[in-house]
Amino acid sequence: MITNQETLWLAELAKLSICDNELDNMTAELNEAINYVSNITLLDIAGATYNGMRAEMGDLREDVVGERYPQELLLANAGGGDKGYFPIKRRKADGK
Amino acid sequence: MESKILDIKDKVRIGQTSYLEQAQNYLQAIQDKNNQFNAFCRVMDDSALLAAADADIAQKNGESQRLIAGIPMAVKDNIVIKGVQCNAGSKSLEGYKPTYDASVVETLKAHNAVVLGKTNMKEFAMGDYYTSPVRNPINTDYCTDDGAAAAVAAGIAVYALGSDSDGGIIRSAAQCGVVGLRPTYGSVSRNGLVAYVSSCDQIGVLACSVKDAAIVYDAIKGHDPKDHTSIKSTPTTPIYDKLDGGIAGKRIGIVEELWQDLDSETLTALQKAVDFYKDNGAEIVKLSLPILKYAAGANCVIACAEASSNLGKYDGIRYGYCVQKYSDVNDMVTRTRTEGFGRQVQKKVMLGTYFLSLGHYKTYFEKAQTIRAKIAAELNKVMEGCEALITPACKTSTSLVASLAMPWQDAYTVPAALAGLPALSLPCGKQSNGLPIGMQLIGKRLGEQAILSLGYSFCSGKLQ
Repeated sequence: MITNQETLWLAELAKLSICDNELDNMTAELNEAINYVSNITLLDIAGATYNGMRAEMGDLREDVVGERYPQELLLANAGGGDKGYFPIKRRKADGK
Repeated sequence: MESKILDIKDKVRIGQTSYLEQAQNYLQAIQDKNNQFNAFCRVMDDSALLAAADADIAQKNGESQRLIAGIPMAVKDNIVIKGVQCNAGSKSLEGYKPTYDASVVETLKAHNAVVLGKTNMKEFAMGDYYTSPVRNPINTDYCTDDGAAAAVAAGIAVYALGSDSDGGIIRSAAQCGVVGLRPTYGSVSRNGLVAYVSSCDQIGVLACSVKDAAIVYDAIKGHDPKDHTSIKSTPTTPIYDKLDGGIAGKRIGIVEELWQDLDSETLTALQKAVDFYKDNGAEIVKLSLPILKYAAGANCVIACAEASSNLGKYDGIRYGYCVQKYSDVNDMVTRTRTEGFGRQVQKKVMLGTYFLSLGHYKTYFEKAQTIRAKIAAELNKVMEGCEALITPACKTSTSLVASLAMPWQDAYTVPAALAGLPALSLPCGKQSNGLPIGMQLIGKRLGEQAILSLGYSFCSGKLQ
């Protein structure tokens, strides 16, 4: 069972915020889901080991450098960027 | 109808209609009917009409065209189209216009497929609807999981490309009474598909008939170097004209663990489907795979973990929604993600963070992956002796009613997704309230032809 304090910690790690009046509900829902999956922790798979995803994912592409996307395309959805960088405007909490 | 695609092509060939006229008719149908179902979230009139006109010119010039040329279709909103707003059902992607086409969209465009527009979906295929939910065209009192299936069922697209991570195509096809094909993982490129569970995500087909699903699969399958999980050995030969393989002598498995918790109507319909295969000479094999009892739990852990990782990039800096009021960069990212993601998505991201965190990684994530490996190994082993497994497509009576609030009800569809196996969803009956009942045929890795042949025989019923 996780506590409200742990829920806040998870939210911080996930870069989300939970308002006070939502906290109890979110904790309850997270616990419900964790409880739902807890049956997998009871399973004893003697001898079985986790060797990464490669076997399930089939024949992966060679890890070699490929064609790069042009910088202007990468910045297109950030207003075209600023001198080749992603811009973040300096703002105060009141939006000014 | 055996094939809506071939029917249109025949009519164009004899001059009874043109691709342009077909496109105009479908666009008009969207305008007339879409507000009842909310299947489309964006309509692409201009480019659709241009593609249709190009297909007509090629037809007039006697050029050889692929079967998808000129056919009006839809694309789920998590498959990117260059310059067309892509939300993937989320506020967090507001304003995002992709700068490239998904590989499957490149294929569609290269062959003059008529893309009518993008279809509505739940947030990142895992949350709630950000906009109004999609209504089931069979009965609009009910919602459905996906606009792609609804568009086909409503007759406002001939076929649609959808996505399936833990059963999305299979379930929504069953809910709407259409055919859904989730291909083998890696046989259709994922390049340009907005990621949810990258190790399970797969682009697939929703269509009116098995033959149409096969035609579209033929068009989009194949190796793609832009997708690092694309299978190099994916066969490229067409299979749509090789679906008459018959049933006699085929072995079809029934896995006990995938036939549980069914209502009597679903059970009766599925039993009739099994009887059909048996009566036509198939050997029905009863199997038990106890490990499948853990499939839904393992999938939940893996899906949440991968979602939390995949959605880490939505920070409002590079693309998509960004808040206007913030104190510093950290505050901006946190506010952007909190306002951009719906509650279900937030919950899954936090769960994924929990499962991947230092104290819980071995207990949950590593265990889930070990179970997944075991499920894949055991399923692949039983598939050595079977042409297909037959299972329900979804828990029909409940998931239709409460589909917006049941995120974990994927027990029948998760095993194939975890193992990367192909699956076909077919209507096999009706509930007393008129809603469809769906069955699923799970095949071997790259065994699409076998399950499509079995599905084709069942739907045509000609062997009865």
